[in-house]
Amino acid sequence: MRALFILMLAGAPLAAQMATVEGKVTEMGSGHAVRKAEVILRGLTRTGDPPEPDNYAAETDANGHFLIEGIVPGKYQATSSHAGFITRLAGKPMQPATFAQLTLAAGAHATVDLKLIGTGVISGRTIPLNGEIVPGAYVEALQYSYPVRAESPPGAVMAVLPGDGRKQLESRGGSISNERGEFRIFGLAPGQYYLRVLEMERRETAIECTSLCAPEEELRGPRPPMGFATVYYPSAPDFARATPLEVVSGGELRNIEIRLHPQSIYSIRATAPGAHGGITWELRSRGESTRSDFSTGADSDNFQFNDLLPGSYVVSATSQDPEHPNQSFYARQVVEILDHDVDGVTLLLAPMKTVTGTVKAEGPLAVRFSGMSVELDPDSPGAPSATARVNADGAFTAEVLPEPYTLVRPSIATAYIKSVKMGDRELAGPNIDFARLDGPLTIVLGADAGRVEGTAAMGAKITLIPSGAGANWPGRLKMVNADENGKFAFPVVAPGEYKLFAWQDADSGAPFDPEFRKPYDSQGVNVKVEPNGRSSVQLPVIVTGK
Amino acid sequence: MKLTRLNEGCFCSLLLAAAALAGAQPAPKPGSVSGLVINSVTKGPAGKATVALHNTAKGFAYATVADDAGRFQFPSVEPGPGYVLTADAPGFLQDWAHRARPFTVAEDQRVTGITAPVMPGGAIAGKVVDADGDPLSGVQVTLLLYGYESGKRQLRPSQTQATDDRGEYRLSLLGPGRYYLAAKFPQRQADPPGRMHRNGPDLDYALTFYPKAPDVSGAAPIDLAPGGEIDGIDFRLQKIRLYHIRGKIAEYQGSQQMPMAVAARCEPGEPQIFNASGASPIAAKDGSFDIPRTAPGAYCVSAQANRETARQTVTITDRDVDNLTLTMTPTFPVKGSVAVEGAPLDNWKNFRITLMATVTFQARASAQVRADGSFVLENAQPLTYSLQYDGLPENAYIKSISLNGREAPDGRINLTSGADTLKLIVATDTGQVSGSLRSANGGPAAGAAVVIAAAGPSLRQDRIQSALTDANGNFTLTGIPPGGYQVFAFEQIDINSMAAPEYRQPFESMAASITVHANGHETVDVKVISADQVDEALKKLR
Repeated sequence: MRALFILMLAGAPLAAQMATVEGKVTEMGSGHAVRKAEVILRGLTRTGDPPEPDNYAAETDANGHFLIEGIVPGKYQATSSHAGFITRLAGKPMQPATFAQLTLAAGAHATVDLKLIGTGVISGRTIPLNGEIVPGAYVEALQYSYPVRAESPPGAVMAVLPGDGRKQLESRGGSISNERGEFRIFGLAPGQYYLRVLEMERRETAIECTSLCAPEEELRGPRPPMGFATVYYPSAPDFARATPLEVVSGGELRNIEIRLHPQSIYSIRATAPGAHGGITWELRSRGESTRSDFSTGADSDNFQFNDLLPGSYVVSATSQDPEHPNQSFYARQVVEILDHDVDGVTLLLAPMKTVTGTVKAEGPLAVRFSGMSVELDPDSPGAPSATARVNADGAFTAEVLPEPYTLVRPSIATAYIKSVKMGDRELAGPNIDFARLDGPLTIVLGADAGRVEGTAAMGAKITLIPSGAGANWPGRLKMVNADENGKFAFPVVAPGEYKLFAWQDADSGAPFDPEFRKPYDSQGVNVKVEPNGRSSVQLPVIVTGK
Repeated sequence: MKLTRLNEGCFCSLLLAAAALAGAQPAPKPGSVSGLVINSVTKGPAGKATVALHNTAKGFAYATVADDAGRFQFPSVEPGPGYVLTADAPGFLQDWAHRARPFTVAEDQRVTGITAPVMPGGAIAGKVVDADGDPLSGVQVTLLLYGYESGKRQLRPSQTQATDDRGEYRLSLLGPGRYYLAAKFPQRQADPPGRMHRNGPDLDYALTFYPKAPDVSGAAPIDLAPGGEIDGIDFRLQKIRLYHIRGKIAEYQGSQQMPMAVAARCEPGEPQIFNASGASPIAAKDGSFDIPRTAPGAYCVSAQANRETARQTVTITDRDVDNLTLTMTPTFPVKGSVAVEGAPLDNWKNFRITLMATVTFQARASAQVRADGSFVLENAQPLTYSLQYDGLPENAYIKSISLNGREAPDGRINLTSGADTLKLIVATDTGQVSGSLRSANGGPAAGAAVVIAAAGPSLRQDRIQSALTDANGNFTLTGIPPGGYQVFAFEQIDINSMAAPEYRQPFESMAASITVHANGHETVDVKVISADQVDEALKKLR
């Protein structure tokens, strides 16, 4: 150290102190050089006043090579990027070959090889059965996988939603077909995809008539097909009968033809007599269909939904009495469209049930009730969720239908739901059937949470899976990313029994899928969390290789 | 639908008797309509079009599909007036300018030979590459055309497409016209926090107008004929150097909020794609800021904190701008009052006044008018403003605006300080204008657009009102403040553009002049300007 200090005083060139990094960026698999890739050295150590990291950027040349000189010694992470390439597959962590951790001493000269994963293309045409072209169809590339969640910063505990552990069709990209019916989906990570085609624009522009015509025209007589049903490649009505396509890095699947089935479109006319105030109308399609939920408001007691394909729908109406703003009315009905307009759907509005309740803390708890909300999700998919803001004193009022619901919130980081009572009756779990239960809802937050911490491996995903009583209460299922030293902590854990797992490479939602977890059960570690207790564990890291 | 002849079968006499007893009329015999869908450019047939026959009098329609030869028929049509045909086919656009006039179908009448025109859509396509010729993907290519917005002739974005992995784009289903194209490279990802070191100057792509201009003045027009197809409209984008705008706020006191210094193009209301703006937080300790990554050009640098604002124009040519000093001037509230002449208004509940600065980016001051007619405009600056308002009932209008006791006849208000006061007079003595228009062939001009605009300078220079004629050619315009006006009638017009005086100018010789009196009812007759006449007049405007 002293020698260095003298060198500096003597005015020796500072370049001798700086480090150099050179290397190349190539495509994973083929090994081809990637030119004009941007290489970034992100500083992980802070120096100077104010202390800040130093970052460096460079571009690779025609051979994929780069050279960065004059680097301040310290710790860095090197990554590269280029349009048409990716560094990770959806839901998976960054591939190890795509980044490098460097520790550069003064005057060091490091060599780094970075990889990028090439993406692929699916292109082709949509072809309707009757030979016409359908422009403006949205062709989507889907993968059947767990929902991908945004990466949480290290140390931030994430409460897991029940749906996270269920595979579903997730969109990875799409393209709107042009006036020739052609589409091109690019930037797709290698893997298996299903193509789904949805309508974007309806052909009603053909029957649109500017201002000369009435805004709500009645379509009389036989009608030509003006829409088409959602279709999966090559021509399947649902996902179960769809054929997947395999995309490879840098490859193009050409001439993919998807056959569409033109269909006529119809309308549903509904009334909700006897409403006291304005009515909000809503229509949802059941099953995997063209349009996802759309709702619209109107003030009249009758409404017409237009441009609907044959299928199954739920029509609902909600109304509020202006004299009694806290009392809402609701009705819904399933409506099937076969091959003609549906008239005369009559909804009989019935008053919703008001549930009053309180959130209370059992013991001293540093938690603010205002800002919290209580959310109840109905078991029936056609019904609306009930959400209520909690007042500063813990009181809340919600409106529900006399049907079964599941309590989904409060799910807060600083406390846990210890017990819930409806009237005098303590509930065994978050399911509440409002048809059969009455009385105020009391949600008790426990003040005696325990803490679970430990070590696994750098960047591992740690999941806390509750077992035993209380496992289904909201907020019990948690996840956190271990830091660069492999350490992790769950600061607020409800007393009870748990199993902890540390995953190195699992897909984002897979650890919450009980089926996925089964073969790794023996690699989890059981923990019993005592009230106000502190548990410390060492977790073996599970490598699934998938 | 088969017609049943009434004298068939044994029950005929009973039926006739029953009908006579009930006083029922036999249903009128339906007519039929048939015709051809025509490509309005080639004049040949357009096949596989969807055709609709609308009964505008009764609010229903029939729909059918034409065959490959463009022939369509509606075999059973309820007799009546006011039938209108519309047609659309994939790859085509509705052709409003040449649409058929409303017609009547009489009882048992076969209407044949009706033509429904559709216009083939045009396309403009090309490729975006970098200086080496390598494709650039994700570049937003935007189609622009001149239109009138807020009373000014401006380039407005129409369609936009992002280039694909091959750098290619295709803009399709376009109507004929004169277009301009702009290519915008997606925003570069933000640098990681800390000090960024690059080998060489900071370069990036700036907004480029086809073929390679940094601003509109160098943009080359692309004239697209109806149904035209133009390929090869390529961009070769060059990275250019980006610069910093550095400076400080003079005598900065610090602020509760997190104020930012913003550099943006100065023209208010320019389309968002032109807004190459950058921003920088203002350092609390000394009021300094550093706006990075700004392309050469002229900018307005502004900052707002603690009810004070500062603004300075700056031009970047080929180096960073350092030592820019922004001096904050306090914004001030401006008091005012509204007086009503004539019948009092029920309430002011929705009456809101907004002053828009005429030449400064996004400066505005607004106020809600209180129940007693008073208002206070917050955040006014010493600038020139124009007044906008909403929330007045249909028969009320602003009759005059006075600043410090002097009338502002053209609605321009020059504010200097918080000592300024505004007085507005609202009146409710509006009048009506109506008429019955005929088309060139002598029949009623149905569906024509009637526009009324103030003649000569007035507070309502940029305001127009419009109405459409009904199936009999009749129209009524209500809520017209007293004064002198010009009335225009068009087969087809872009209504929004008519708010600009220079857009109306070519049509003035074909307009009618009238004077609307307080609470009066005037009638007017004016010739309907055809779509072709509009095209001719607009060509001269370019």
